[in-house]
Amino acid sequence: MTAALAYGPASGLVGRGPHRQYRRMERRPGEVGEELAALMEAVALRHDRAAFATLFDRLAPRVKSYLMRLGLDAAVAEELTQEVMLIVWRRAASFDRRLAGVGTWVFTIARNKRIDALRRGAHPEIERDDPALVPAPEAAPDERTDAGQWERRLAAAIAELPQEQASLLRQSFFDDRSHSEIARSSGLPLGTVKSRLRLAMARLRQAFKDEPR
Amino acid sequence: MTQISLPTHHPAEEHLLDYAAGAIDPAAALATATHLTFCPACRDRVAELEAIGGALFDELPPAPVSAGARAALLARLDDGIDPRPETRPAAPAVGRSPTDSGVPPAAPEGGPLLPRPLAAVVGGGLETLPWRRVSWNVEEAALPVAAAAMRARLVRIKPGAAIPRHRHGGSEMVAVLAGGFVDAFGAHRRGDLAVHDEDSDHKPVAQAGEDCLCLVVDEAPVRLTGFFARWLNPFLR
Repeated sequence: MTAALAYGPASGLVGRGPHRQYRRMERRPGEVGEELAALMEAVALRHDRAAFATLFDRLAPRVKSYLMRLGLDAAVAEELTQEVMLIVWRRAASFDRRLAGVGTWVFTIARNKRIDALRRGAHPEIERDDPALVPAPEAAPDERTDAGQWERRLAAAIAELPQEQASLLRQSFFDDRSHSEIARSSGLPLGTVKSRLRLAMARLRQAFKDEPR
Repeated sequence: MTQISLPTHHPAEEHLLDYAAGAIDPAAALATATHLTFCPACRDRVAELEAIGGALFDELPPAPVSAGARAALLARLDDGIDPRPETRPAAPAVGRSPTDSGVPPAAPEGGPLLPRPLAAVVGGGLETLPWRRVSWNVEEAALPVAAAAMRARLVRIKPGAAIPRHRHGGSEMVAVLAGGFVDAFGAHRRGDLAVHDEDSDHKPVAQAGEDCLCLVVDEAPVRLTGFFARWLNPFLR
């Protein structure tokens, strides 16, 4: 299992060259997630500014929208959006479509930037090269489903959720409230909030399986 | 010493959701990140929850960004930035090359005592912390977590020692870093994260053999509930 701990600049996308990605593209052409991932890889591999400009146009308005939903005014949100997009440019090489889709990856960057700006704290995260990290005992990460496909399936699964469950999920992600704070502010019993969230997540879990059901 | 084993006590899913959404107190996030370092199953779960966040993010109605901001950023890409992957710091990529350098392999006995997010808060090392003796066999040291409303402490318990029965004024999270303890909820070892709510009333006993070291994050002072232990309350803040 120590192989799963061998991280570094020589591994991942960089060492494999661009061809593998383009072969993948031919298999499933025209998918938005694939297209964004290919643009990210163009930025990572060739510092492709045109690709980045396209990514900016696709992603920045959503980053700004996310930050405004969380209570920032438009000017501050726009400033932070630029910072988020600068991180996207700088860290493009650490994007790995097998670990996350582009939307997810950018969401986590925007989330951390928002925490940093609003709370003046940090979002402590695991580091994949932390020597204390305990690796998964089975399935090597390479064998995992391409996480970039998750978002597409999830979008469909979220659309099918009962309104009360979807609304709680949106509050979790966009209102900066923990599930217990949501219970307090909405007047719902804590147990109801928990069970609705668990039901929602159990349904959405189907989207992570290799074959959608 | 501790051998690598997978945790058996995990946070509830709604708790991981709070973490993935970034809607969690920074001290609780630190305890969660500590557990995640030791728990591949919960890491997968958080990746799934972040993907849910990503899918919801994709659905947000776009808020137009001004042409000026766009142009300013595209101009900044020249601004002394070098995005070449060769020069970036070690990235969280999936390891497949055995030739990677600079990353120490996992120590066979479970790796360094503290995961990096926690080591960053502890700073100079365990012994540099302001340890305070709570009783003859329990010591604690407060940890400064920026912007946290909850409080974070490291607690060190002598082997075999019992913490008096207590109840919580609010929720409490205990991440085990070394040694272990047993209470009504079972045995807890390195990597486990116990989450207690307001109503839980328990009496942990440290395992024999080595000091039990835990990261404890809680909302409010604990109240001792054992009859003879009530007088201890002023000491167990």
